[in-house]
Amino acid sequence: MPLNSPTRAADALDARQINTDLLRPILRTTARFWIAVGLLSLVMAWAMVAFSYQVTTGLGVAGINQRVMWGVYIANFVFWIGISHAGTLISAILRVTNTTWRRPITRAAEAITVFALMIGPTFILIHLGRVWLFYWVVPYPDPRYLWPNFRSPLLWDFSCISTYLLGSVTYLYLPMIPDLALVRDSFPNGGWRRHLYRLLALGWEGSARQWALLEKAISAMAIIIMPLAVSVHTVVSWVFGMTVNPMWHSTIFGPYFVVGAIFSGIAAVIAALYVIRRTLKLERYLEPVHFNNLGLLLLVFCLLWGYFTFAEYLTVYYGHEEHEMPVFWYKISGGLAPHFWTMMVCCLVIPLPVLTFRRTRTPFGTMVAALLVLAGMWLERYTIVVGTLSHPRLSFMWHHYRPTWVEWSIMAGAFAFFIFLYVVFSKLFPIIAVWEYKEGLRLHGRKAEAAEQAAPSAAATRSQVSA
Amino acid sequence: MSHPTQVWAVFRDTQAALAVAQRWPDAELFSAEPIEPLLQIQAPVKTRLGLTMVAGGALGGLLGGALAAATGIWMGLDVGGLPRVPWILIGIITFAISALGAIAAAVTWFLVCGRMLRRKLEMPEKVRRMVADGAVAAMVRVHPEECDAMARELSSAGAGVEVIEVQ
Repeated sequence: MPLNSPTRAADALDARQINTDLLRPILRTTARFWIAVGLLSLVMAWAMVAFSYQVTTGLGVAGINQRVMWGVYIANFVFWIGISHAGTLISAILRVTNTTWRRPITRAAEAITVFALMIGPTFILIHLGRVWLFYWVVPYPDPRYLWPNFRSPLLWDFSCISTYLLGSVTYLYLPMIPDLALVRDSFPNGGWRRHLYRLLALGWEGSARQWALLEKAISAMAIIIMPLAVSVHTVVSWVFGMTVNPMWHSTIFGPYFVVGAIFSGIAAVIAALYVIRRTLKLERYLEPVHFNNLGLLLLVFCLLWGYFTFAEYLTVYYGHEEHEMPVFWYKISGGLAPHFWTMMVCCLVIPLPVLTFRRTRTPFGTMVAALLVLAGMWLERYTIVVGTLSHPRLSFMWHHYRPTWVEWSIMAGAFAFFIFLYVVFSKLFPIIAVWEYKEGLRLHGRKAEAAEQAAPSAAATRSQVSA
Repeated sequence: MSHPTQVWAVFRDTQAALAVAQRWPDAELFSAEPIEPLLQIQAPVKTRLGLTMVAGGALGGLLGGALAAATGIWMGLDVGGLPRVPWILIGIITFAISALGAIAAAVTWFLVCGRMLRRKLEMPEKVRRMVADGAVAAMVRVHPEECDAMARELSSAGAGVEVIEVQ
């Protein structure tokens, strides 16, 4: 069977078997689930301790200071917003281009987007220090004459990310409705969860009219979400690019950030799919072909990211502008050199050969490459944020930055919270879109039938021609 | 005008269900996944989704643009060498809120047109469970006195396995 046939292991599956396999995680709770939830809760609790300490003591307990006022928190914000490009953008592109192998991976990817978008902007709140004054950014009549400045890239960020989050939640929810109805109807005696599914499935019955409307709505959402996703990370890049700081004030920052975001997003999808495949025993549904194709996508963005990075650094080096060179050398051979070169190894040197050769483009190989890319992309965000702020234009303002245990703890808590949300989501909802998968099988079956019918007639034509 | 009694038939064979859809154009068919030929027969030909989204987007864009422009004028933002209402910068807020409006319009359109907000479902629970298992259900509305005849016809239409009458 050729590798590009995504349904070879699933050819013999019928609807009932697919339901049993894909809804099994919802019905059965294993000990591993509780262990995972327990461990993640511990990390989150520790992060809450660190955050409480920061709130009660003041922002000074973090490593950021008057000169380097952005650090790990903002690097995390940019990183998570990048990860959020995983799902919606990738899923939307694959949906709009009607890519058939997308079916088992779209929901897992869309869920990543929503959870990453919930976590990323939280770092802005944490970075604020006095988090309870967040509402000042919202425009409302105020006796203090406070009003947000809509010209500020920070406000652009707020608007675009809020819209993207709402759009992503909708884009995750709409295709889930038929599966929620499926769970509602398959297990009518499900206790409290029955009410949850009944509530979330709304009035879905699966009539032809509802299917047609749903497909139209999903397609429309896919079209809207793509420019929105691009705008989100472009605007995030403009938070840096609109300042006249060395190595930030760059016209390619928009596309560079978008490429980096999709790069890390694909990596996040691969890593998540690998874990889902192993822990939920979904090898029949998440086949090597999915990892192969996602690996190829990752390879394309690996090359694109490498190209943009090279272009960015070459331009700075060639220009040799006096304020930019200290930042350049700080990254290449100074205090951030270990971060920079580890980033290059993680994002380019190792993933490139691993993803190039089919022999290593296995589920395990792509997962290793994806984890390295995620680590590398976090380091990239860190070097961008810290490199420039520690070497601004005025040399007497130069300052070092070293993150403290508070920042590392909160960051660990954010990662734990992301995994926690994902684990709970895959426990409550089908992580593979059941109806999309079945539709794919049906279409695949029809194509195979058509090919079988066409084969004898083609042979007859050939024999007539030869006669 | 719709008749008061529903006759529900469940088919294990999709082709038989398609035959029902072709023979009785008023019959409604239900499935757990989209069946392409069925959508071609029964799907709404014309929807106003595009128009709805454009309207929602335009409304959102107007509100977003107006909010940003009004801020510049009311607050007297003469800063950065920019005019009080720099359109190129306002465009980003306008775009974001416009997208929000279009999304809200699309969701509202789907909820209303798909009758998603009703509380009581028409399909009997027993049939829903069979549809979840891969069957295709057909529902025909008839006069009460025509129920038996319709049930017989649906049964003979091919692999009809279940006939339920709902008043």
